[in-house]
Amino acid sequence: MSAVPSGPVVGVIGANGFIGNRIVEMLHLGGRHEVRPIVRQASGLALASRFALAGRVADAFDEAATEAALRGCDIVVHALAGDHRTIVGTVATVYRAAERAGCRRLVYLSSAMVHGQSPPPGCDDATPLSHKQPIRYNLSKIKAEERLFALRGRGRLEAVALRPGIVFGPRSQWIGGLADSLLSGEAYLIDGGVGLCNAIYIDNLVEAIVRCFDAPAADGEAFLLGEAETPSWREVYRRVAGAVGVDMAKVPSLGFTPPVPGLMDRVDEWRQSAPVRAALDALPKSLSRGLGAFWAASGALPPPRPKGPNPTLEMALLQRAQHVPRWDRARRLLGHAPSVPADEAWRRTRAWLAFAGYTTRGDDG
Amino acid sequence: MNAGMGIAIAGCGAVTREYYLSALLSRRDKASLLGVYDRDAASMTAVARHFPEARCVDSFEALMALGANLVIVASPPSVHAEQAIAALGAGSHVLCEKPMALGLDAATAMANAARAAGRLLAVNMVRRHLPATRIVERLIATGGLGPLQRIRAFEGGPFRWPIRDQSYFSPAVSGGGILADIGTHIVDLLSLWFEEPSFVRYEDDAMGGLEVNALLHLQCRGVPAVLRLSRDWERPNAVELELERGMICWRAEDITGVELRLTDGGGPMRVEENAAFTFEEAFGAQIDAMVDAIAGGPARLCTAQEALPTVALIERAYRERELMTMPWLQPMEAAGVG
Repeated sequence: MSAVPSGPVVGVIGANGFIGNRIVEMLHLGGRHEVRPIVRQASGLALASRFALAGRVADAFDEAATEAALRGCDIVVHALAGDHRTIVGTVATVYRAAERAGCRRLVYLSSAMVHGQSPPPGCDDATPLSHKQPIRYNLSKIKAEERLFALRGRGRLEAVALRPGIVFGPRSQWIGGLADSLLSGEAYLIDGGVGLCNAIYIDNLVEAIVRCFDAPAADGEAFLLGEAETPSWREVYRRVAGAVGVDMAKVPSLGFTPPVPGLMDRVDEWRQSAPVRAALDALPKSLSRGLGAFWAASGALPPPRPKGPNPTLEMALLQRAQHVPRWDRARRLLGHAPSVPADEAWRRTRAWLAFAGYTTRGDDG
Repeated sequence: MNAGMGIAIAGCGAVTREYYLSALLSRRDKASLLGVYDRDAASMTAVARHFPEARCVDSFEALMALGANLVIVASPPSVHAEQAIAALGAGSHVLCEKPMALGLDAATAMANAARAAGRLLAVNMVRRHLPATRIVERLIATGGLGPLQRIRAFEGGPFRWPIRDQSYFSPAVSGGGILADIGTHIVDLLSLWFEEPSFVRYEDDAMGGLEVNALLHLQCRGVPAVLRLSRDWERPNAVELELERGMICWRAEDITGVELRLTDGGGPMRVEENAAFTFEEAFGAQIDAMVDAIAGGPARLCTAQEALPTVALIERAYRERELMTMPWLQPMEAAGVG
């Protein structure tokens, strides 16, 4: 990188994630910003270590560590992914840490899922958020936004929330994960995949994030984001399947009826929860192996899922979406105008699949 | 194994914690840990508390003063040469973690120091002890599969090694990224199975720091060998050895077996041995091999001299590196890289 950064210093919390990594990459290589990757564990700096950057290790739950990591930053981007506890619990710690560190503005990565996977017709930024949603992730993001703007109401640090939908591109689970499931025979469409996919290419999202750094009218606001074109889920699958050489005719189209979770499912959900997994990870290997064997022998685990497609409620709701939220306000107040058109976004995405080691065919199905 | 072999460890980071600890614990009746040294006192104490007889010391010199027969150098690669040469000079035999050193000059100085001291210096190429890689070695050695046609390898996935701090990602400390880390293992295995491969071309994605994606083109027995390594995205690990009459496929996570597919028909068959063997036990086998060799017996080791060509190849790859094409970068970013 040859240019001397003239823009704000940007701290990226969750820099090892899909979105966080691309923010670091684009801002650093773009040359205008000095960027500081911030991750929970030192191993999380692997991707950012491609660049000569001064990363920081700080658990976003640890306010003092996060404050130290953010000192000297003008902007903080909260791009940390995780479970309910992480999504909701780190908003306040990061806000207060950034405020004390002297940051000017926090850009929080929320989600269009605050309006549900199948948003109502005419949904836009003025549509009230519903707390009666079946997907916990949506409720977590709503709660996080509420906390953020409550803190903003009584704090000095400016705050903006962005609500992208399905963020795709290189290193996206919606791409690499879909490629994996297509190749393993686990991919499926719901009702033929005719529902709309509220897709946004990662670079277009990062451009919107950068616009939030200085947009005067953005403070205290949340913005839905989108793109000019809205593909169907089938189209998204077709593009990825074409790239990795999977015949779309072999991807089953299923219906979906929500199952009623049993006791064993709930026990397993608890066992898989982040705190329990963290506690198990902290045990000596021999003991955690023994516990695993005990669980397996106890009969308290649900039977393993059968191989092949296992449709989920979340995917069913996503693929049955008939509408996508409107994002006029982001266009008006942020100047959001996605610069990477869909065809170019998919060209780069396909090329990344080849880079990552997938055997690609080079066509898009 | 010699009863009472005195061992000292320099470096109490992830590899010591994850692997050497259990290997030494299971050999307490045969070898004793005399002492440990690490600049981080907490890490040192965490290891030493399992060995009441072991002393925590506050300098490498103090560790040498314990008079250990065998010193395990598990410190960051940047101090391997300095510590190994000091230990050899103090009369100890040395087992050094990989990568052996930051460059060929340092590695050669280590090998020379071992020769001058009349002591054994080996590099912990631990994969040589896995049942799976031994099966490959035997399958190749029989010659029954015919001449080698092609080698392809992919290994990697998101980086999860429990490192202590970010100095691991400093080029001055680690000397390299995924190539120095995993590439060293695969090049060593190719040398063991066939012959020392020769360098053709190397690309990676380092842009001022350490590579997380690497593509190494080699020649081995006159045929192309392509190694794709990643700390980035998960794909199935596989070292595929295509020979005239069959293909051997080894997945790095498969400790005890390989897949064999014969050209003249039949489905893939699994060849396995010692099914209960664990990766931790490979570290134990490495220590056993060191102790046996110190006692003058035959042992399966990668001696310093044997490791030098791999160090030279990795060094050349870094010296002649080209930037990988990253097709998602926007023109302005690509210009920034250049």
